[in-house]
Amino acid sequence: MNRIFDITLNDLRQLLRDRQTFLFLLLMPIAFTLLFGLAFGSFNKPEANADTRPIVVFNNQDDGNLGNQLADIFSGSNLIQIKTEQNQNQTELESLVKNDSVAAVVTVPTGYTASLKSDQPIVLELLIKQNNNHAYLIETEVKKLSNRMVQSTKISHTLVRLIPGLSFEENLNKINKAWRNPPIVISSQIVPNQQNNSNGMSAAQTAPGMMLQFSLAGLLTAGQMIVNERKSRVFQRLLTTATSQYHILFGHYFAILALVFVQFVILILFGQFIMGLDYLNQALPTFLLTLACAMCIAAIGLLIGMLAKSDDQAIIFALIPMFIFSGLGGAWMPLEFTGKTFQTIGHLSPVAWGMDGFKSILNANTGLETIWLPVIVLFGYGVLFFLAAAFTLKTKQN
Amino acid sequence: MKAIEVKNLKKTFDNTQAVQGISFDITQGQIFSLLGPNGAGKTTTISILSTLLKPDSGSVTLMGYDLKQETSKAKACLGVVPQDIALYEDLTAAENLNFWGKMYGLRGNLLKKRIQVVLEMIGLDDRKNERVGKYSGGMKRRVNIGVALLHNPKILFMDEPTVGIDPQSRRHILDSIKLLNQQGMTVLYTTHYMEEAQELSDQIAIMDKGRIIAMGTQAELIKIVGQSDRLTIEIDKDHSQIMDLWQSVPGVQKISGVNGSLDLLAEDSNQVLPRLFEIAAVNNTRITAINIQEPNLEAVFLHLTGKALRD
Ligand SMILES: Nc1ncnc2c1ncn2[C@@H]1O[C@H](COP(=O)(O)OP(=O)(O)OP(=O)(O)O)[C@@H](O)[C@H]1O
Ligand SMILES: [Mg+2]
Repeated sequence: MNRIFDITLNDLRQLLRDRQTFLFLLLMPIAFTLLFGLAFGSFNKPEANADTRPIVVFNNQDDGNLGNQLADIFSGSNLIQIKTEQNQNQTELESLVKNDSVAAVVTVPTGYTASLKSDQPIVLELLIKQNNNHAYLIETEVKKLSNRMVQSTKISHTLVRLIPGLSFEENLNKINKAWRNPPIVISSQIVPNQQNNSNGMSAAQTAPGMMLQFSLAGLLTAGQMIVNERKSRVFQRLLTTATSQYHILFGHYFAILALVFVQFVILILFGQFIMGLDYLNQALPTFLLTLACAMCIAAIGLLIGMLAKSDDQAIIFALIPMFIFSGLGGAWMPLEFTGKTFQTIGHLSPVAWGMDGFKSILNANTGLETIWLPVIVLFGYGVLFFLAAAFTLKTKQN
Repeated sequence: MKAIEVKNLKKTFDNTQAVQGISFDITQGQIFSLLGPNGAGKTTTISILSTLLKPDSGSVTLMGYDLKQETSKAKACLGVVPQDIALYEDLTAAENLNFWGKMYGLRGNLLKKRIQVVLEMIGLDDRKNERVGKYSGGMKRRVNIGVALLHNPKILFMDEPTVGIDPQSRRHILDSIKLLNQQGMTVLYTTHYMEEAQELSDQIAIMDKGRIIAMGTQAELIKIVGQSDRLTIEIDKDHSQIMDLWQSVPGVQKISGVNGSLDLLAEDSNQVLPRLFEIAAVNNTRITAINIQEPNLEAVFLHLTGKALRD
C-alpha cells in the first residue's frame, strides 16, 4: 500500500511542477465557462422563493378510487407541481406539452384500480417533450411515486391474506397515509432554479459541461507522464524492484484521480460562489457524483497512458475522447434538444451521465434518488476503463 | 558459493533468436563480463535475469533463489543498471534517489543515510538539487547507477553503463565498480568495449548472435587463440648477427629484422626477455627500445567469429 502512495505522490510532484497542467486543469475551464456564460447571457440571478417546480398535469382516467389516491401521492411531491385534470381530451393535453404550458402529462389509464387490486399493476403513460430540461427528473419522480402505490397495494394484499377480516381498501388507505406522514422526515427546502434561457444554455448546462470537458482535456498531461515513464524505461526499472504492475497501475490511477477530483472541487466552488450555482445545497449527491465522474475520467487517463506509444499520441488519445465524449454527451449542447436516438447514443458517453447528474442537482432539489443511476453508470465505466488499462499493460508486458 | 547460476537460457522474439541456450555461473564476489557486439543478446540476457522478460526455457538462480519460484527473494538481492537512462527527468537527483529508495523498500533514517552515501559515491552531492533533465550525459549515467546501489544489493547488473560518456565519468564509474566489488558485491557487467572487460573482469564470456562462444579468465581466453606476444626490439648494431643467436632461444617462435630493428613472436615475453638481454650483453649489443604487444580479446573475437568486435 505504501508503495502505491509513494508512486502517487511522485506523480503529483511531477505533474505540479509543470505549468501546463495548471493551465489545462483550472484556467481553461474557468475561462470557457465564463465565455459561454457571457455569450448566452445565463447569469441572471434567479428570483428568490418562486416555485419553479416543473408543472405536470395529472390526467386521471381511472374508474376506481385508487387513481385519486395516486393523485394525493403525486401532489405531495417536492419536485414536481401537480395540476389535476379530468376533462380534457388527449389532443388538448398534447398541445399543452407541445407549447410548453406544462412540462409533462401523466395519464392514469382506465382500469388502474382494477389492475392494482388484482395485483397486476399497469403502467402510467407519461407525455413529455424530449428536449425538456427536466425530462430525466420528471421521469424518475413519476416512476418513484407510482411505485410507491404499487408497493402499498402489495403490502395491503399480503396483510389481507394473512389477517382475515381486514379490508383491502382501508388498509391501503392507512399505508398511503403512513407514506405521507413518515416517522422520519427528510426535509429539504425548495431551491429556486436557474432561469432557463429560450435556447437552454443556462449556467447549469455550461458549467458542468465545461467541467467535464476540461477534466478530459487535462488527461493529456497525465497520459504523457505515464507514456514518458514507459518510454524512458523507468517503468521496466520499477518492475526490477519489489514493485508490481498493480502497484504502478493503482499508484498512477490515484494520482490522476486526486488531480481530477481537486479540479472538480475547485470548479464546483467557483460555480457555487462566483456563478451563483447551487451545488452545495445537495452536498452528498454532489460529492458522490463528483467522485464517480473523477473515478471514471481518471481511468480513461490511465488507459490513455497505457495505450499511447508517444507523447504526441498521448495528446491525440486525450483529445479524441474529449471531443467525442463531450460532444456526444451533451457538454456543449443539451442532449434534451436532440432526438430520442441521439439521446440514446449520447448516453454511451460517460459525459452524458455526468451531465444528467449535475443538471438534476442544479435544476432541482432532488436528493440521492435522481443521481444514483448516473453514479452507478459512471462507476461502472470507471471499472471498465481501469480493466482495459490493466489488460493493455499486461499484453504490452511480453 | 555461486551468486548467479544460469542454465540453458533461450529467448526468441518474433523471428529473432536473441538468446540461444546460454549457461554460466558467477562466483560470489566476482566481476563477470558479457562481452559482445551490438545485437549479441546481452540486454536480452540481463532482462531475463532481472525478471523483465520471461525466457522460453532455461533456469536462473540468484543467491540460491530460483528466479521463477522465489521471485521476490531473488529480486531483493538485485540492483539493476539498465542500458538506457531510467530516471525521472523532471525530478532532481535527490528526489529520484528518494523515490527509488522507497521502491527498494527503504524508509526513514536508513533511506536518508543511503542517499547520502550514494550521492557521495557518484560525486554529485553538491548538485543533488538540480533536475536530472539538466544534467550532462555522464552525470545522468552516474545517477542511473546510483539508484541501483541504494539498497546495497548483493548482486549488481550493469548493462553497458559507460556508453556515450566522457573519459572522466567513465574512469569514475570503472573505479566505483572496483570499489564496490572489493566490498563484496558480485557484478554482472555487459559491454562491447574490450578494454573495460579486460580491466574489470575476473571472468569473461564472449557473446555473439545469442550464444556464448568462449568463456574464462582473460588469460584462458587468450590461450584459446594461442596467439603469441609480439615484441619489437631496436638495437644499436646491424640485426643479422644477433638475429641468428636470438632465434635459438626457447620460446621464440619467429624472428625477422630490418636495419637494427627486430620483430619477434614469442609464447611469453616475460620468459624470453631475460635470455634476449643476456645474449645481447655477451655480444656487446645495446638494446635501445622495446615494445611488447600482448594478444587481446579483440584478437580472440576475430579468431572465433572472423569479424571485428566493433564495426
Ligand atoms: N523486444 C524485442 N523484440 C524483438 N526483437 C528484439 C527485442 N529485443 C531485442 N531484440 C532482438 O534481439 C537481438 C538481441 O538484442 P539485445 O538487445 O539483447 O542485444 P545487445 O547485445 O544488448 O545489443 P547492444 O549492444 O546493441 O545493446 C537483436 O537482434 C534484437 O534486434
Ligand atoms: Mg544491449
